[in-house]
Amino acid sequence: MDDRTLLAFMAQDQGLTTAALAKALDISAPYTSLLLSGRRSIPAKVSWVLQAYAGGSSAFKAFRLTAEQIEQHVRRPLTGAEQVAFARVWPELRGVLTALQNTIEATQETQIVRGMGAPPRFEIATALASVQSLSQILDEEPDLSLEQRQLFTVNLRAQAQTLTRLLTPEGGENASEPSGHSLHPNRYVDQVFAAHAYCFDTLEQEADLLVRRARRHGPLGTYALAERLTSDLGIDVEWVEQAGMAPSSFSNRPPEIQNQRLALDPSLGQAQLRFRLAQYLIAQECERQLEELIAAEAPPNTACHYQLKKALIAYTAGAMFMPYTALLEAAETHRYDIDWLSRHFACSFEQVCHRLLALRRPDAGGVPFGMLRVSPAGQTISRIPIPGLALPDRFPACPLWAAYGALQHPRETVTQLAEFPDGERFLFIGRLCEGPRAHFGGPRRLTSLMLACDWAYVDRLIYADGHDPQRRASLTPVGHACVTCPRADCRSRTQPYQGD
Amino acid sequence: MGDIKQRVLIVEDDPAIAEALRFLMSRAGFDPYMASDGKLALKATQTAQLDLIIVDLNLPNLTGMELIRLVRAQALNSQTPILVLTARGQSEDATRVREIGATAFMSKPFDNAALVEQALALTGQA
Repeated sequence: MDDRTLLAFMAQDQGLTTAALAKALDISAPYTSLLLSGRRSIPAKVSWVLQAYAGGSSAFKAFRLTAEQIEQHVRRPLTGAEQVAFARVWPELRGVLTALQNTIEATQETQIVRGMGAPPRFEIATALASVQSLSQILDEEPDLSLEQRQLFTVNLRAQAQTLTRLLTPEGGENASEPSGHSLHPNRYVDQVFAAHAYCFDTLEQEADLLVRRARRHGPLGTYALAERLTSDLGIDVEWVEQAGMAPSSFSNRPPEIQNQRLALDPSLGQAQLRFRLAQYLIAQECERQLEELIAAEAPPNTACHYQLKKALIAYTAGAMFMPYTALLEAAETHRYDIDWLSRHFACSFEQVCHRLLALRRPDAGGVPFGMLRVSPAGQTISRIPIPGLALPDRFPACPLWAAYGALQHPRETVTQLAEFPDGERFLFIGRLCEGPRAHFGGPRRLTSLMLACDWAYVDRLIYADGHDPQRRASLTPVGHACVTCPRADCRSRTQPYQGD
Repeated sequence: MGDIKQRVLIVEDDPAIAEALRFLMSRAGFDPYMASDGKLALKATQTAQLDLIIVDLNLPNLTGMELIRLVRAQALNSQTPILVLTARGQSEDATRVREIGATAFMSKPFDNAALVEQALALTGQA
């Protein structure tokens, strides 16, 4: 490994900016830039520091071993430029490649035993080509637009993950826990929201401000919001049939107004349309506050950044239409009847459920709910746990949970007093949420949403009516998941119990 | 009257590399056309006079080799320089693609500056 590779590796591995790296090496920042870009050769003084660092760094040892592994696959030594490129994506790779070091030999043996033939040399070379080309562009092109930089960064990370998948046995699934870099964006957002107890005071204040501004144009509906965008902010709002579903929950990018023009589909329901207008308004007017909040969380990659921004925008929209105090009072008065709240605040069932999660202020808290949102295929889309109730992430929960029961009962609210093997009881409230059809006969986006709360709070909820905890018949014996559930007589079991 | 940009067709099925190539070629002053498989590329070569074709060998629908043969057999673009990019990197590949009509050959991974230099040289701009 030459000194330039070492320099790039040290900067990435230590997370050092050029200025910090310069300080560590006791040279100037401009000179460090020249060394990093290869426009100056590494002087002896810096080389000595780098060699000392490499000698004592276990990370560098892992890096060198991994580079050797790539060389075995592509059947030639890596060039200096390739080594530097590889060093630059090391932060993306190290989490999953740590496991690789112990399995290199095993992999080769396994491939031979399984008759898998030659390693995927073409794919590795292709991924390496992307990594090298993209990292060179990001490093050497100072005039990239923000959009180009984001695109190339996202592509670079994706290619780094491809490289990881190709190099790691079982497609990278052997990696123990997901590192920050491989964390699913939805899981990342769940973690951030949980860390904030689902409450962002700054955004509550921003929501209040936005509502006051929009109300100058009338009651807080689509007209007032559209007027705020057009009259005050100079945005052209156009009503275009099937203008696209973005920003849906499954769109990659957060809502963003481009070229002062916004196309909206008038066939969307009123609640959705109003919510969507609000999202664009928030994206436009609270950009700085949102980015400050996001920067404080330091998302590990662009996908997590985008997902967090979307979630914060949706949170703010919820706060606009369901102000904290008004929602808390209405919820307590009407015993958390979500249908009633939905009508009262003119919001969808799903929007109300999300907003109820925010009622957690220490001095004025509501019922603390957890939430699980799943796809019809049983995949977990998002989850907000509560004490005592673990919610599944990468595997399906117990098939008896209301989240799955709701899939079988469209337009009905499924309630359930769930009793776990350890005797813990929770109230589950499930509902199938249906997105709009784009056209006649077109598919709807379906998700099932389940709120959960500890049995201790059920007196405050209308959904406990009819469930008598003294009667066994009112209780649904459930588990967390089949593999951890010891109920031997369960007729819904789909997998064998594998112990705790 | 402004300069007319030279047209380059980039035939690459890997989106990340395709975006990188598009950027590099634009930055070098070319007008890039994109095709993600062999058939789309063939259609482009039948309808537009191009100044350079950059082609990957491993392509869906129509391989890079087949594409080069067909381009050389048609009137339009029969003389257009073709730069082959491939992850194969074997010397026999280089010989074969030249035999069927490619002008130059580069292995992946490639150096961006070297690629741009090659593209400019092939279009007489170096």
